[in-house]
Amino acid sequence: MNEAGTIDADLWGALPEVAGEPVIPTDDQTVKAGEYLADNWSKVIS
Amino acid sequence: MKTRKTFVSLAVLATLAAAAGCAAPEQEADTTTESGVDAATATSAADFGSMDDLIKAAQDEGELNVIALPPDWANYGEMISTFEEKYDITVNSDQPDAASQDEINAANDLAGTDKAPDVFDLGQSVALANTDMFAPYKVETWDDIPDEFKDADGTWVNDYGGYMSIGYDSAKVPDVTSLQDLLGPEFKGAVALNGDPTQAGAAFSGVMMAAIANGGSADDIAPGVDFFSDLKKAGNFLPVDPDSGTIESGATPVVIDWDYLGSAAAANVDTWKTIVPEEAVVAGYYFQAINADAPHPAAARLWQEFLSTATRARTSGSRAVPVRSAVTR
Repeated sequence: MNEAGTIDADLWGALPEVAGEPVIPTDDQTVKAGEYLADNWSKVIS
Repeated sequence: MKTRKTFVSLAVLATLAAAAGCAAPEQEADTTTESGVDAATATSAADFGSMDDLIKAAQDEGELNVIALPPDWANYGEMISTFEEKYDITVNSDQPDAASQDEINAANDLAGTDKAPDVFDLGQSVALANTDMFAPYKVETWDDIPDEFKDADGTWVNDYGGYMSIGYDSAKVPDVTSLQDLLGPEFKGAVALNGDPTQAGAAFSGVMMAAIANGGSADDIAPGVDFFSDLKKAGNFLPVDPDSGTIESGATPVVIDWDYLGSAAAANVDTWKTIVPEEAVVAGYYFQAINADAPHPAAARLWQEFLSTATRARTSGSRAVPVRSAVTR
């Protein structure tokens, strides 16, 4: 999209800078984390 | 330093494709178009004959039911009105502030009625748990979308994404450089999370970010829950569901949410700043899919075509990063 010129350079530039390696949970990790949240979140934040 | 422009490979998402099932849509209603095409099983515009035939079939239906699309989220307000004007199709926008799980619940509760959602826009965790409810469809730009951002069978496609961030009003709280800062006394009653992490994709990723900042990982979200426990004990957690309205009114001085939403809010609040904490960079993408029981199956498919060609970041009001821009890392 950058190459195609269909992205607004000003808006793109307004996003915060990102440093470091992004973490992107996998399917399995997402499912497991979701189960942990289902079991524990309401105990912490009600 | 790595920047957004050097987007890392998301090949890991490709593994998700295998998990997505492919259910044949039920055909309770007559979804056959005038030209004899069953819109509910069409998997491409070509199945209708041509894009023009798809447009005509969608116009014959006349309506599109969308759900959980806030007007201030990823430019949806403008996109919906553009779709309505371009195709002369009425868009019924239900529960704009609802969470991903609410979309699935509505589809189940309203199944078989003309009020059921035609399309979904879901966070990863909810999307992957419900792929059997999606009708496969491949947009005309399918081949331009990298493999890691789509299901091979067309069950879903990632449309836009970004990074989890901390947004804050620098006129109300000190500058934030890390998650840890938010536990300090200057942030009393100030820190809001966008939604319930058991229901909403943004909040889920917010807790994941807190986990990674506190010794956890994608495999261990527990430290993230502990962080919010500490935040609450410190009196800093603000149980308000934030949006651009609460940011503008000052009701939510600190908001944990996607970076593109925070940046968009900054357009109306000069002192609003958004950071992606260096110690916990979490990326996430939203999943577009068609409800297999869509009451307006042609309009649902036309919406996918529309989304695939719309350039969210091109228009004002949104800084969501379209997936196809992430291709050119």
